[in-house]
Amino acid sequence: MNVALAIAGKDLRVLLRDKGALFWACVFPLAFALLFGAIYPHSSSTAKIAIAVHDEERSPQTAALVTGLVGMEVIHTADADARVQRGEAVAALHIARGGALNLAVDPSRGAEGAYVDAALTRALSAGCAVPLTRRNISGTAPRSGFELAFPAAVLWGLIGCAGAFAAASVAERRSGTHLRLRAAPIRMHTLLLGKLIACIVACAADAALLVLIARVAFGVRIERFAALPLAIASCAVCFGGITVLLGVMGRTEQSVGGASWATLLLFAMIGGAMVPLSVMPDWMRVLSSASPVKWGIVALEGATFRGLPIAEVLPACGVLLLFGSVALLSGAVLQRRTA
Amino acid sequence: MDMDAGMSNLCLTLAPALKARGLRKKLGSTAAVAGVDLTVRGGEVVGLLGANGAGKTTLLHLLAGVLAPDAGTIEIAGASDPTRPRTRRALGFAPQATAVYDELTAAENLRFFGSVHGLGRSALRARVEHGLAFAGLIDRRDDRVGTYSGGMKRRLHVACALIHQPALLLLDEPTVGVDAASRGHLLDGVTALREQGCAVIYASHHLDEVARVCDRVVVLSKGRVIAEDRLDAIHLDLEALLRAEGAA
Repeated sequence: MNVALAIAGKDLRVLLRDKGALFWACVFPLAFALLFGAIYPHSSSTAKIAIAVHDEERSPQTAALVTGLVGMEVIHTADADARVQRGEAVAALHIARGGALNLAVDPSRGAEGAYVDAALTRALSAGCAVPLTRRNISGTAPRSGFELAFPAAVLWGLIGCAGAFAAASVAERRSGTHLRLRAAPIRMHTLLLGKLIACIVACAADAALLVLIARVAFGVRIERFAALPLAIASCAVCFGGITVLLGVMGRTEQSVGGASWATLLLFAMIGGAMVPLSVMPDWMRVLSSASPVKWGIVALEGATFRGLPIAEVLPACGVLLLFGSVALLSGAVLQRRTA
Repeated sequence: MDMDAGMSNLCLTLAPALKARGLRKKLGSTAAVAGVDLTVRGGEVVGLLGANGAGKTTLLHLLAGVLAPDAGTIEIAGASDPTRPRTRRALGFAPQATAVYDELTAAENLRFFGSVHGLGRSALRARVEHGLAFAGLIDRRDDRVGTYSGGMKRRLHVACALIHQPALLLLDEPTVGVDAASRGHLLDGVTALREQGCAVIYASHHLDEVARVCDRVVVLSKGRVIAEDRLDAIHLDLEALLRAEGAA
């Protein structure tokens, strides 16, 4: 373990003294958050307007009302409010026994809310006259573009860390230090463990720093303090595992460097770090589940402005840990085979 | 166990520092090493001569355990199999490419490689000082290696291979790209190691260096040993051999 810690300490020291790596891990994510935080409207927009409906009445009249919501994507669910809270629907329509309607609208999505309102009014005027009350779900929508931009920025920071560590592996191969370490009295898994520890520590520290800046300088809310360390740790383990795999994937520095950045940028593109998930078409949202970046953003948004209960952040954390574990095991197997 | 004491014992052992028998290694369809036997005793410096492509580096990689032989056995200071950590503790390896971290200082590089070899805190402190003195870098100990000249880096590179006082030191063309002063410093260092009982294999294609520091030379050609004796006793036109193979 001491040797693994010595390797981790060396890798962290090398990272901290590499100005290029620090730029990609810290400066670039901040620039991203500043730019996109200013650009994003104070609401997320969706390609399709979704309304979550909880129909307890289940009468022909209420069925007709729901059918009459023209142009809406209707999601039938018992936890309609939670769907709005997670940003999956613009409004939650509760139809109580007796037919009373209760419409809850995401206040940050004003234009879409008005559209829901209009569609509901049209459906009601088509023959279903029941009393309607309106309310807002507060404290769960982003108050500013920065609340939307920072989770993605944190993921960019992690991508920067992973890229820097992969580049350090490349430099080790080029300089001959990797060869010297292979001739040292250490097992290959100790070498991998050292690199994994370094990457996890760097990723966690980077994410924590960016979240702190987001909180202090940009007023980004942290609604679930208990969920935040969990989300950060899961992201760090995930990217640690991916870095180990990337570091052993190729035989030459060129192949390792190229494969690292290509993979990480692909993850970023489909995972919502470049284009927000909310504006992606349906097929791309399905595809995005293959990217750890998506699950990182979901976990961080849940812990910050969305304020999801920890039980709802856990599945995203689980997926991140799974990604990291699979990548780490694959890296270890590949390293053994190469050696 | 105190590492310094352990390594000193290894240097004084009666077993040869290196005993390799029937080593063979194919790289692709080429027999890079084709049946090499080699024995080196403590305090002996053996030159490994050969042109580019003769198999020097492949042989050193086999001895260092970073390549697995297709056939043959290797014993280092009485311990078999150079892939085992116990065997590797008796081995120091300075590969052809400079193997130090540019972002770290000389002291940090030495400390790191010492930690990797399992040196305890007090032994490490003493060995770092010794390594800095060996490399002639005491004045520059806290400067980052990236600011050093090529010669200074090569001296540190060799010092890192010595940090744990190995019984056997493998040097793969240690003077590549260094100035005359650094070359002299390194050759003096190798001579001092012989006096301390360390066995050294010194791969090079410079006859003058080999003549200066080596007790005996092993000449490789196409993966085979074609001559093995004191340099002045070898009746081969080595310069012509090295030129011809190098040209090929």
